[in-house]
Amino acid sequence: MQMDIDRLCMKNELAKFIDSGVAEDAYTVYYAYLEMFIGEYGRSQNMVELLSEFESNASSLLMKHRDHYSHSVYVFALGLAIYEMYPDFRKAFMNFYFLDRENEPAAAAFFLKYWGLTALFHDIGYPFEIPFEQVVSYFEVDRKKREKGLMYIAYHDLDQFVAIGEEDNRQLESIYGRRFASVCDLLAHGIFLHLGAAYNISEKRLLKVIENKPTRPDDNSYYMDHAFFSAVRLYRELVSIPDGDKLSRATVDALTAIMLHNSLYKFAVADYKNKDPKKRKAPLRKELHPLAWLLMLCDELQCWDRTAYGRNSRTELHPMAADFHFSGNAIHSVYHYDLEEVQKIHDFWEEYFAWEEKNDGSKPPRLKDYSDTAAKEQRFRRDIESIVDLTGFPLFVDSDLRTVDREVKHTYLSSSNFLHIYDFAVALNARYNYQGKEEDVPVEKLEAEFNALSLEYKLLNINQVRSFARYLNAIDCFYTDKPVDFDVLKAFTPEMISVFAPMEHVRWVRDHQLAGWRQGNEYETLLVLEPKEDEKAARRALREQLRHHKLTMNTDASEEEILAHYEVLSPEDQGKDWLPFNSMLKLLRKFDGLRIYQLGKD
Amino acid sequence: MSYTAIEAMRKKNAERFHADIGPHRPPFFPGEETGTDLKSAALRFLEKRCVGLRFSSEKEKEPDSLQYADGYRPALHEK
Repeated sequence: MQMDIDRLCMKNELAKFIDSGVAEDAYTVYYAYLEMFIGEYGRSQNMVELLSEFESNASSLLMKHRDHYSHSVYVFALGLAIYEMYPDFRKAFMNFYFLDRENEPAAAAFFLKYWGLTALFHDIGYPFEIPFEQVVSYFEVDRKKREKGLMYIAYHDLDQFVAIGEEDNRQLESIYGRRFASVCDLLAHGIFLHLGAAYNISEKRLLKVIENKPTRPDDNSYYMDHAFFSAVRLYRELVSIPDGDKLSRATVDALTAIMLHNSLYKFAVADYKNKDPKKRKAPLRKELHPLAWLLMLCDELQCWDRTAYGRNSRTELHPMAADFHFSGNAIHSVYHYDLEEVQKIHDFWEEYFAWEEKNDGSKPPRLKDYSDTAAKEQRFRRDIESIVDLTGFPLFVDSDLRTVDREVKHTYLSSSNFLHIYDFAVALNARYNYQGKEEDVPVEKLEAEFNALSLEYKLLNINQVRSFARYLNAIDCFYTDKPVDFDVLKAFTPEMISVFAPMEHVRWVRDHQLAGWRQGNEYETLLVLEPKEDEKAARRALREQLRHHKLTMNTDASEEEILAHYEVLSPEDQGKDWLPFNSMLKLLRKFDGLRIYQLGKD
Repeated sequence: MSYTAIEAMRKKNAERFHADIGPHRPPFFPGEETGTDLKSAALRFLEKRCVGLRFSSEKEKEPDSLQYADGYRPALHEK
């Protein structure tokens, strides 16, 4: 069966994310991908949510740290755009995997699956790097350098983490003709197959470097490489999913692309910053490992709109937006910086012009990332070109200043240190079956019922949850898990309901429009031939088959028309727009410390 | 419940009810059909290039028998 609706869901969620860039919108892209290609989201919930939660809760004390959760979804989008726009990349990808060039849709589906695996999860290992960086930051505050004498933490007892089960090893043997002692061994072999000869690096050497990543950061310039943990953590996730896909060459390629993307390729394979230019190896060609090539390119390009958590991150100047034009077999990018930072930029240029005038052979001044994209050295572009081969695929980089549009971020007072979106959506769905008794039903049962829904209906629940902060904002309320000196809201008043219920109707109609639903009640009037007792079910099925709903509106309806439409709904239908939120009030109590408060109440 | 093959269902409904009553795909996002920006290109990939994406039970033939094409395993063929 074609998954047109699921594909449409992913497209709509990706469109929302590209417009806003916020973590809540990134969440539904992860959600759609996992449901479409891996298995139930709930089974992989921790892998995805821990990245976001560790970053937002544990990164503030680092010297430098920036968001990797939304970043990964931007990387995913960039890769899709490059595949779409560049025939040379498509050709390289199809040739590499021996895909039928006459069957482009099958090749694109194949790319979507394995590029998604590569891009969306390439940074999930950051929670393992953050504790290392926290300890280093403690000393870096006193400007201690990363060199011998720096105290650091390292990981031990990794045997189980990197172990390969008997069944998985049999599967790998059928692909590679040999068994593997560990995931490190598998990654080293996978990388050697593609890059060994071209870069004159042995499998043994690769294995040693990979094995040292978690245990010997001193061998890695005193850095802990999150890429190792991302690759191994993803391997563990994939082999733990019951009835999941078997391991394949493309799966292993996704893992090796992730393993390579941070420092392994740059330093151990290509040695791209060697002081002796002759010892630097050539940048990676897409034909050698298309997934790794694309990941490193997109990972470097995606430097805009990344929440800064660390001490120094806030004193740098990063682009807050970017525009790309993929045309004429080139990538044209313009990075936009915040106009309010004009003083910082002015100071940089003064220093830069003074340096130019001095002309003493010293290094140019740097205001990361601004100067990398704006100064004539074009460090940003040159760095990318030294990592990935862009022959026939030139990159043009420009920069400008503009006013930040914060409205697209739809940021409200409501906040939580944890995402909770999935838990809320599962519980919210329970309202339909257990109205008023949701709290008494075991969570596992609620989760099983939620997971029986199609992706479209799961996302409808999730998007309802995600709108909650906006509705609370409209009625001068907010939720938080911090103890604050405001009155706790125990129930919504009729006045509050009259504000947010029409807003929820607009959201519901808009989400249905995006998913191709049209206004109509033919499912109630057309002749159906099922026996009388099955007629209700048959008409429900017909509604889905037609994608008509009597309560939605067609795509040309304005917001005013949808609000007017809400006013003429029956009280029962109006209740669908606010009753779930009364349930939300009860559900929030299930989550420790999360409460709704009212502003301006003594 | 969700019927996922839009065009197939549309044809089936047209035969059943003798009218093109749906389902229909929603309109494109602005720029999606021809735009060269990030959003347009990424969405167009999902909308047009992935047509026919199937659920896993019937998905594209892959993994076990997947081979790399000659000339695209440079580690073995190039130096």
